Amino acid sequence: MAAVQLHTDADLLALSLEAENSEQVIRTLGKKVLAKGYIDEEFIENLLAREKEFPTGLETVYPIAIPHVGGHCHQSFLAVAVLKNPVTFMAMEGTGKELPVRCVFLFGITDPENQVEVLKKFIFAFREEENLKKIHEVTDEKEALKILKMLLEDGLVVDAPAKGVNA
Amino acid sequence: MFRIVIACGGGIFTTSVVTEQVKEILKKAKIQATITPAKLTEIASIADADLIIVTGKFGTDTKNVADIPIIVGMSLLTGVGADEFKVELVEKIKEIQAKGAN
Repeated sequence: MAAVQLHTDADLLALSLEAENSEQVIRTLGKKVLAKGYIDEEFIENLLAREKEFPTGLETVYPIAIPHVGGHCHQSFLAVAVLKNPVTFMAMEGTGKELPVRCVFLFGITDPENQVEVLKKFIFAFREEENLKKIHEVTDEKEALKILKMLLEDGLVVDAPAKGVNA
Repeated sequence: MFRIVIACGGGIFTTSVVTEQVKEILKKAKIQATITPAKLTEIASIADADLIIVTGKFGTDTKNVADIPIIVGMSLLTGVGADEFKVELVEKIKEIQAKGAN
């Protein structure tokens, strides 16, 4: 059975984003995904609630955040924000540690059992300093999509961006 | 058979990734075990497992009802300390199995 792929495209990327806190980043990415019809509005609120209780900051070599939540998602996706300045996300471990995060990966997972491969690819790819560095230094959408596709391979489908979508 | 529960906040993402890696660790160490996913909110009340691996906060005062050992598997996500964790996990399982056999 083919693994259910994550969809992404230039519309789901927010590069050189300026934000004051994690909520702003999550809302910005959430709005983009909502505009595509991949999620319901509840998804964004659930995401924020989950982040408060079970934060998703990962203490990788360059700390990242992987907000995600189940339900209210119609189409699996990956939305990415690369921030101008770091924003605080709490560490997943729950120690209360604050991580300065510049890359946020918002996942929409509809079929966890069959999507474990792409999630694994993601985790393994972003454990490597070299890959983290690449994504942190990305300057345009095309480059970002190229890097993501290279790391996630078949797990990721890069769609052509919809024309006239303004998020 | 040895029963492992793996828990994270949502019970989906990190649990699946950690589960896959734990399966590989067990295979290499030739240890047979069942692995069940759970949410962090459920672990305090789990009674039928031998070991719980968590990737998130469960509170220092959230003790598991049946006093099941809980270890933190964050390194399997971040890669930092992953090799040490693999050794620690196998040792912990053997330790628990030995206790159970007595």
